[in-house]
Amino acid sequence: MYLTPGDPALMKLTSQGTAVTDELLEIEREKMGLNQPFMVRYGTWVMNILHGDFGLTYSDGLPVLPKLLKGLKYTAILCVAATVFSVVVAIPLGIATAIKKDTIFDNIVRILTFTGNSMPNFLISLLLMYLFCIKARLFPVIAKESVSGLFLPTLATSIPMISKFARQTRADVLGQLGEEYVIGMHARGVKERVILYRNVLHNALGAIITIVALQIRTLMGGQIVVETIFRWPGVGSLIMNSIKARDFPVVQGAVLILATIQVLINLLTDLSYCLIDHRIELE
Amino acid sequence: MKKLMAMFLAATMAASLAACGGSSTATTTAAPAAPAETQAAAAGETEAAAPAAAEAAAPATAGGIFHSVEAFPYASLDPHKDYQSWHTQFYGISETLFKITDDLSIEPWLAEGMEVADNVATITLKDGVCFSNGNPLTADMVKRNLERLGTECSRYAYMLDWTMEATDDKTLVITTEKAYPALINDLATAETGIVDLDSTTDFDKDPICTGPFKVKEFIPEGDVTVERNENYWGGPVNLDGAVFYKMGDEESKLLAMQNGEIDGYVDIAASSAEIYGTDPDSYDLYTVPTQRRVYAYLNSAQLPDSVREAIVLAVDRDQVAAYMNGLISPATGAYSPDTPYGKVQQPMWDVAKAKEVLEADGYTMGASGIYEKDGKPLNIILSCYAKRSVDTVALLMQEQLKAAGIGIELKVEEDPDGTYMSTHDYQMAMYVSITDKTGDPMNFLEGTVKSGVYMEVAGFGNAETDAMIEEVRYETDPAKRAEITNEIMQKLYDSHDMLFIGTYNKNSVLKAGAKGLGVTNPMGFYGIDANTSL
Repeated sequence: MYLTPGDPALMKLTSQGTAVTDELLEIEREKMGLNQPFMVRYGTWVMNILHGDFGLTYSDGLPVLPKLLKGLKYTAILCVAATVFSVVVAIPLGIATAIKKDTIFDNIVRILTFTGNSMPNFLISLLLMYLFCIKARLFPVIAKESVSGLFLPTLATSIPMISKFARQTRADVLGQLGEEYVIGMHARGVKERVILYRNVLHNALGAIITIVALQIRTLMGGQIVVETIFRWPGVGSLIMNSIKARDFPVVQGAVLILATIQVLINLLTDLSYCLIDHRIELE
Repeated sequence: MKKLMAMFLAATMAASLAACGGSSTATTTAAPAAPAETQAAAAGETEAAAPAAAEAAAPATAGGIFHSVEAFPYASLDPHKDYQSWHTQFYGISETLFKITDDLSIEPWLAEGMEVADNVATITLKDGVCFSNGNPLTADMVKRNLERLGTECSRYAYMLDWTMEATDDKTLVITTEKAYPALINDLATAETGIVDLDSTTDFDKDPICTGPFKVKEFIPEGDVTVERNENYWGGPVNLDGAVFYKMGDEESKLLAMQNGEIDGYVDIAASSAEIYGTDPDSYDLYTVPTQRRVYAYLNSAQLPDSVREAIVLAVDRDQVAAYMNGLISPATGAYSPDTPYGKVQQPMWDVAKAKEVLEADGYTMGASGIYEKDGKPLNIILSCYAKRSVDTVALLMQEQLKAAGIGIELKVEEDPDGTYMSTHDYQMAMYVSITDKTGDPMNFLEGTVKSGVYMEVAGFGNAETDAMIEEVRYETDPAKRAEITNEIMQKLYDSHDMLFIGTYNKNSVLKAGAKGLGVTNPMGFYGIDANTSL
């Protein structure tokens, strides 16, 4: 952030486009502590972080941590809702398309998932808003931070996720269905349902968990477009606004927290591999 | 299979177009983009017609809740912090001693008036002004507010150097070191909003002020709800309250307006204005040129005078404004020609003269249609950035200058301040700033024209004009002040160091019949007031 072009003091003073004098710039830089050497500023920030103090924002002088926690709370809600919804819809869909490979049903789902995967988020969001808010009038355009307000952002976030998960599940299940152990089980007269859910799906789960975890990691970074269109107060737009304003304390705090979350997600993902495949051991 | 896929994709595209274009009526009947002059004229007609209609009929609705949207999130309503006051005042919560009118003149608001004798200003407050909690406004409270502003906001730290004395409940005497003619303008800016410092317990979330509305609910960086101030000193307040939703996406705002969820908003995009314009029975559009200007610096250290002059002559501001479709109006100077200090303007578009200037300096037209000198084509790098569509303006200028024989290569930066504005390493560079924030020329003179200041990057600043700027600072005769400012601006324009291109428009929409929201004021900090109606 230190190396990023742009002066936070200048951006703060000219945020409405008014001219500033050099004297004023100097006063503001001094006030914001920007005149201190880099190592002093960084050292102070690290020491404060170790004491749980994320500092004050440059833009409005309010504490950073409550802002980040509020944004993260809403991002986490959206992330959980979208992931659960996507998994619940996509995995059965993926299995069904694998079983009914090359049927009309399979082809329709493949077209839908291909389209869902290709469409940009803003377009999905605006389409949903148009259909649900303007045409069907089921929701207001101006959504609240409530369960009903969560529906459309969840759907907008889930459509690409469902598309990805369903295609991944289909590919993995198809791969497993072609394995010799499946042919052997069929030959031994094992029930189709047992083969599918206790063996095939179980063996395909590793790859599915990986792609779900990757998606959760992406979602926790914030869905700027969806958040902006549906007024969902997540961390994405907060970070983007802070980057634009060179609000270093917010960006640094966000990077620290999000990096920690990413590491935790990776850890949980790795641990989950042990649960589904006992050949993998913790060492 | 292919047919199925083609049908599906076609259906998706059709649905996409419907969503992006708003209502089907709006999209199907949308007229081609009209030139800016036509739009401005049409807007003028709307504005002119609106008051007449209002006089003819009683307000459509008495009371009610006004719903609007704001693009940017704010975490505080404290008028003395940074630019938060622009919003606090827009929400009808805070008020200032004086106010800037639609024609940029100053009129009393909380103050009855101000008498100035040399460096001493005596301000008299209006009788009966009180805060929303019923506490009367006193001169001592005003004094302490200005002191707090000086402490909280670096831009107003100079107020701490003033000697202020409340001689009685209604009279405040401000003594400055030297005569300070811009004092009344300073006291008209939103930052000087008055708060009840004794009763306010949470300045960020619930400042107690004198405006027609008071805070009902404030969600930091979220929605703001205000309700009628029953103790309003200015008389009855029409609305019961208002809600300002945070909404950054322009398409969402358009859909919300079309869905009847909001009653109006300011700073609409040109694309939305076009859609609203197709349904005049449902929407009233307003366009007011603001004081936010887009201009180009022409680096005198890297470009000869003849080239700079030719560039100034070769840019057709009217055409640029027309292409920008209502986003900007043409401007040929830092100040509005309607102001006494804006009487001097830059020359208008004259390509023939631009070519004459270049040819007189030894440039000859090359085979590629670009002038050459000493075998080198006249190619200039124009630095710009994407914010506020500055890059689009630069693109239009590139075409116009090319037609005049001046080659332009665009260089788009993410942040002008972190690049060419800091390094001064550019040939021609775009920038945007408010050139007249308070109806006074001083802010631009000392922030952009004076030598050595941050925004003086063209190399114009010199001892002579610096001395003249100091004269303006302390000259109390408005006519003389305007005269000196015009002289300075003439020198600036003669230097060809800056090229003024356009002034951004404040485009607003209200649902048919609604009034208010500061749509006719060029300043961005006037919003709902006691007379705003649905």
